[in-house]
Order: sequence, then C-alpha cells, then structure tokens
Amino acid sequence: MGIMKPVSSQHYRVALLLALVYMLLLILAQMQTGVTRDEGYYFKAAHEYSGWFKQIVEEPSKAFSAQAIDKHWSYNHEHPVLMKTLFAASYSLFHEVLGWTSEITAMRLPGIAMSALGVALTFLLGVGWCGVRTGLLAALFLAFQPRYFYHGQLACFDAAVITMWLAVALAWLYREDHHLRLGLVFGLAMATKHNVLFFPILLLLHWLWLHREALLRGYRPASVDGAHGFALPVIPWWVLAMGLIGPLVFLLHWPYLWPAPLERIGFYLNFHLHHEHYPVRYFGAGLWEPPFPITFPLVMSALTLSLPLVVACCGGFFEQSRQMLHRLWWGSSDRHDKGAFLLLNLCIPVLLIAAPSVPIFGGTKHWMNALPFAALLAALFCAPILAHLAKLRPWAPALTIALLVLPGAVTTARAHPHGIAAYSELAFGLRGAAALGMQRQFWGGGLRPLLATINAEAKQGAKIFGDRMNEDSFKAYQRDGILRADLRFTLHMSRAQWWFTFHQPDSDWVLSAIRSRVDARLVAVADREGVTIVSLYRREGK
Amino acid sequence: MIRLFVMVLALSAAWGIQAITWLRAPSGADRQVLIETTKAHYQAGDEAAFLPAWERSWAVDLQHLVPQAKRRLGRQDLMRPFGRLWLYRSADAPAWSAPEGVVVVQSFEHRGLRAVLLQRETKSQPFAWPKIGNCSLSRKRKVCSSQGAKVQFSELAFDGPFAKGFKITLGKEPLVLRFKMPAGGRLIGGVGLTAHGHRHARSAVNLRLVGSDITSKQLPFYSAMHKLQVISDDQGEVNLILEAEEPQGSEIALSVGWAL
Repeated sequence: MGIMKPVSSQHYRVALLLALVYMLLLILAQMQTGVTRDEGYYFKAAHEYSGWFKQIVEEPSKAFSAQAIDKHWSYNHEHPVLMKTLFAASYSLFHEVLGWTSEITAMRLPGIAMSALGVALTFLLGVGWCGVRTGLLAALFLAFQPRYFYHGQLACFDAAVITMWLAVALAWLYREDHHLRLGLVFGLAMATKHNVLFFPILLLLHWLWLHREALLRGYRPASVDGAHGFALPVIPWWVLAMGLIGPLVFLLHWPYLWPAPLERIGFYLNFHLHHEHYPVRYFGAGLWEPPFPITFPLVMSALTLSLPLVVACCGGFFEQSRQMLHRLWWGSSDRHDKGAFLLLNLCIPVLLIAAPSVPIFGGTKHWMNALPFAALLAALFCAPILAHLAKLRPWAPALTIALLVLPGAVTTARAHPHGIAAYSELAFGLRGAAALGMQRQFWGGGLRPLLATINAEAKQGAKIFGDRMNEDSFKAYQRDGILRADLRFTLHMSRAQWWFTFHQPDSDWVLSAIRSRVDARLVAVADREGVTIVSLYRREGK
Repeated sequence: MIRLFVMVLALSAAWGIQAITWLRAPSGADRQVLIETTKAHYQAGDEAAFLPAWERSWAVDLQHLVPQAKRRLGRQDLMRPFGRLWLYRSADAPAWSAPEGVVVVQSFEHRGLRAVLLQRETKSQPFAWPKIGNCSLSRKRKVCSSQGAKVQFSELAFDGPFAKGFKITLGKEPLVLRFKMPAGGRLIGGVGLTAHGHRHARSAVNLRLVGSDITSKQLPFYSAMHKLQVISDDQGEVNLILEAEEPQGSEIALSVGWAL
C-alpha cells in the first residue's frame, strides 16, 4: 500500500480546472502589476539566451563552442536558466509569432503557469493525504494568500520554486515504481532555483527520524562469508535517482556550465552562500546586516498570511507535533511517517531563513516553499469540522471553505496591484503595517500606476530618475507602450526632470535629496488605502 | 469542540478586522474636502503637517490646494516650535498632543478626518541656528566644520520618519554648539541618533545641556529624537556639548527652534 491515497482522473480534472481559473485571475491581475527590478534582468536574460537557440538553427556547428555559449549565456549566470528559457520561449510564441499578448505578459506566462500548477498540486496533495475537501481547502488557502498571488504574476523564479519544491515532495510521496520521475522532477527543481538544494537535507532528517530507534541502538555488526564487519543501511533507489538524475538534468539544462562545470557550479553555490544583504524595515528599525532576528520569518508569516490560515496552521502544527511526540514515546511501526514529512516541509524553509546570518531581504518569498504545506496543515486541522458540517447540511462545507478563504482573497484584492505590500489581519492590514513601521516595497515595481501621469505631463525627451526601477524595467514598459518611447532613463538625479522615490530604507536618502531641491514639486503618489508606495516629483521650470 | 471554537474565533476576528480596516480606510475626496474647508483660514507664514506622515496623499493635496504653506515632515519634525500650524489627521493617526504653550485656535472635521489650527502663545522661531567655533550657521550658511566635527542643515532620516534640522558628525574633541536667543527663551526640539548613526555608532554619545542650569544625559541608542528643552541663561545663551568616546560613525540629529 502506498503512502498516499490514489488520485483519480476526476481529481486531475478538478486540479486542472483550479489551475486554469487561477491562471486567468493572474493574467488579468498582472496587467496592472508593475515590472520588478529582477523581471527587468530576466527579460534581458531571456532575450540573450534566445540568441543561442537562433544560432543552433542558423549555425549549429558553432553554437556549442565555449565562445558562443559564453556570448549568449553569461548574463545573469548566478541563477539557473529553466524559467528564463521558458520566458524566452513564451515571448517568442505568444508575442512575436502569435501576437496575442504584450511582451511583459508573454514573459510572465510561464511564472503564472507555475503558480497555477502550485495550486493544482496542493489540491492533489490534499486529496492524496486526506480527501477532496481537504485538497480544495488547502489549494484555495494557498491561492488567495496575498503575497503568493503577487509572486505568481511575475516573470521570476519564486512562485516556480514553490511549485517545484512541492512537486519534488509529491514525487517523493508517490515514488513507488516512479523513481526516475522523482529524479527528473528533482533535476527540474534544481534547474528552477537553488532553494531545492536543501530538499535532500529534509529527506535525510526524515530518514533519521524514521530510523531513530535503530540509530540509537547502533547499527549491528554482521558477517558475510566469515568476514566480520558492519552492516550499512540499504540505499533506496530514490536516493540514487535523485542523486544521479537530478544533477545530470541540472547540468544538461544549463549550457553556461558546460565549458567549465566545476568552476561555474562553484561560483553559483558560492554566490548564494555569500549573498549580499539588502536592508529591511522591520517594526520601525532598519535591518541592514546580521545578526537578524530569528523570529523574523515566523513574525512576517503571521503578519502577511490570512488569520484563518495562521490559526488553523498553528492548530495543525500542534496536532501533528503531538502525534509525533506520541510516536517518539510509544514507538511506531509507520514506515513512512507522512506527518513528520509534512512538518519538515513546513519547518525547514522557515528555519533556514531564521538563522541570524541568512539574508532576510525579499519580503516573505524566500521561505514561501513552506506555504503549500502550511495550507495543507491548516486544511487538515479544519477537516473534521468540514466532515461534521457535511453531515448537518450538504452545502455547509462549501460555505465554510468560502468563509475561511475569503479573508485572504479580500486582503489580496485590497492590496492589488501592490501585493508585495500586503499585510493581513494580525497587522491590521496595510495601514496597520505602515503604522508598525514594516517594509512595503523593495522591488521597484510599485510605480506602474504613475506612468500615465508622466506620459500625460512630461515634455518630449524628458529624463526620468527611477530610484528602485532599473533601466531594463524602464525599457520593458517602453517596448509595451506603457511608457512613452521618447522618455529617457537616467541614474543621475541632477539630470532628471522627473523623479520617482520609493519608501524603503535604502531610498530614504533619495526622498530627502529630492525634497531638499527647491525645484522639485510633488506631483502624485501611488498608494493603497492611503499607504504610500511610491512618490513622483517633477522639476519645476524645465 | 475546541477546534470549532478556535476556528469560529479566528473567523470572527478576521472578518471583524477586515470590516474595521475597510471602514477606516481614508478617501482622497474626503481629504480634499477637509483641506478646502481650511483653505480660507490660512495666513501668510502658516505651516502645515499631516499624520500619519506616511500618508503622503495629504502632501499631494496640500501641494495643490495650499501650495504656500511650509510643510513639516511628521511627528519628529513637530518637536521644534511653530507659530501657526495646521495639523491634518486621519482617523487612525497616532496620538499627538500639543506641547506646552500651544493652543487650538480652530478645528474642523470631515468624515473622521480632522484638522486643527495650533498657535503658540508666545514668540518663537522654527529654527535655532548654532555657532560652532567661529562659524555661524544660518539660512545662507548651512554647513560648518570645526576640529573634525561637522554640522550641516539637512533632512534627518530615522528609518521611516523624517525631520529638518542639523546632521552632526563628531570629531575627537567635544563639539560645542552655541545658541543665542532672547533672554529667558527656551531651546525646544529634539535630539537623537539618525538611522545612519544608529547603524554605525561605535560608542554612546553624551550630551551636556548648559543653560540656566546644567544637565547631562546619554543619547538613547535608537534611531529617533527625544524631546529637548533647555532654558537659556541670563544672556539668552544655551550650549549643547556633544562627545563620544569613539566618534566615528556617530551621526546625530538635532532639530531645534526657540520660544519665549
């Protein structure tokens, strides 16, 4: 008997429907959401990488030389290329060939699809774990968490790696007779973002938990053919599959690694092990360098996830932990211990970020791998309530699910298109979080609502100082006609006729510098419910 | 039963907080109506401020409707004296009480938004300009240096809040800032570490206030100003002496004016 319940074709159809509806929501939403700094870099990377594919078609003999590889794949080589390649492919198909979408939308479609897949997989995880109601509640909990909804709209890796971590977990849970699939999924996850490199540690910890009694007793000596020795545990096929296929897929997917694999993989790992710190505003204090508060991910989760999810997840965590302690005390014949696996998937991403020396920039995205499992835990906690209600009234579970999920959906709608600034009930929303002195911007995308003002009022050829908006994002807006083509980007404040300034620790100096100018006039702000995200200034007299 | 009770409580709290925060969210139209109501009562020299300071739509509306009013930057910037100040507040603005010697002359309200006209009863100046060594700061001269220390009139940043005043970096020797005002005047405002100073200071900063009497204190180690009030001596002089054991990295904020 497998670890999980079987999933039927009907369940797959429901999962597909969830994914398609969610994709549609994200596609519509992202039309108002600004382009982040990282998206600007990835758009550029996608264009450069696509040049290599063109060369394969036009000059196949030269495409695999080190020079050709370096020419096309060098840019942004601190991240693997699966998603960026998909951005390029989507751009080619939906924008260049079919002309169905703008460039920005085309580039974002793969990220949107991955986010929708995450919702679908969460549903299937819940179905396999407990049943349809649990799966549905878990999926909807996830879908309508404001910051998951925000990241799901973007041409970045964060939503994708949440989905891929979940996919690896599912592949592991359903690994019986499917070890190759597990290896392949793990490889694709490695090709998405480096977060999944910690997944084997999770599996090791789970293995240690499962074999705790044998380890505590000590491994037994043994003998074979008269020779005495030490019996090692059996190495499961899934370890070999993940350990061999995973790295192979990772290597093959990334041409930049081919000329010097060891050196370039070393650079990649070293870059992320020693990532620089960007400042974060946290309860009115600027956090610029470690040590960072170890409670940071927990507190931020509590303040940004919907209150029903937080409470139910805490309840589910308490329940599962109690059961684990029971098994620890009384022993257990459970060879798989799904509960322990679930808790590890919840805790490991959080604990990694909780380490005081680990960078904490990026809002909540760096431990969002835990969110599908938090949603499942919450759904499991609510499952007995839904089962009981189903006996009273057949429509009661659906109503209850709606009541549980809608607070997150409401917060999402209220924050849109500034989902990165979303704070939920425990923070008393956007205004409560602003009063607490919490960060609400870091990525440069919040100025999109103000571009219409510049288009209407800026003189021909005016120079724009973007603050946190980079030139790649600026040009993406221009290519899509969202910003006038004659306007120019400048990094020099003194040369600009228009200035944006974001409200975050590393932009305080920008706001002060602009406000100190006698010729700067505040024109407009982008805000939600009165909480300012970006301010726009104009130079008077020019 | 406990499970059901916990979730009913969570749902009630969630929906309740959603409703409260929705109802308290301000409207741009309401802000403009309130400012329009006060517009006719403005006099030359009036200043304006709004709370919370991060709700910068107030600044946009004030810019359009009352462009002549000088702007204060928020709570930290309200520590120094003002003559006539219009203070606009949203329904959920943080508490703020008028300082001693300031009365409410007029008040207006519109759909939870409030505006009050505050007036100081005695003569005051919004900025007090110090002298360090032989260098006197003023509206025309905004930077002075002496023995490795530097005093610059600037915007002061405190991890979100801002104020106008003097950004001070120390040298190895104690820095003496000399203020002159009418006899019996009081130096009023705030002093503390800027955000930069809080991040980089290597030792505590000591402050000695010399006026009609002498007090000493250590600046609290956080990024904000705390209140400062010193009564001048018989000649109308107040000296502020700042020093640090390890001055490198200490960036101090001083935002002061004087009042009788």
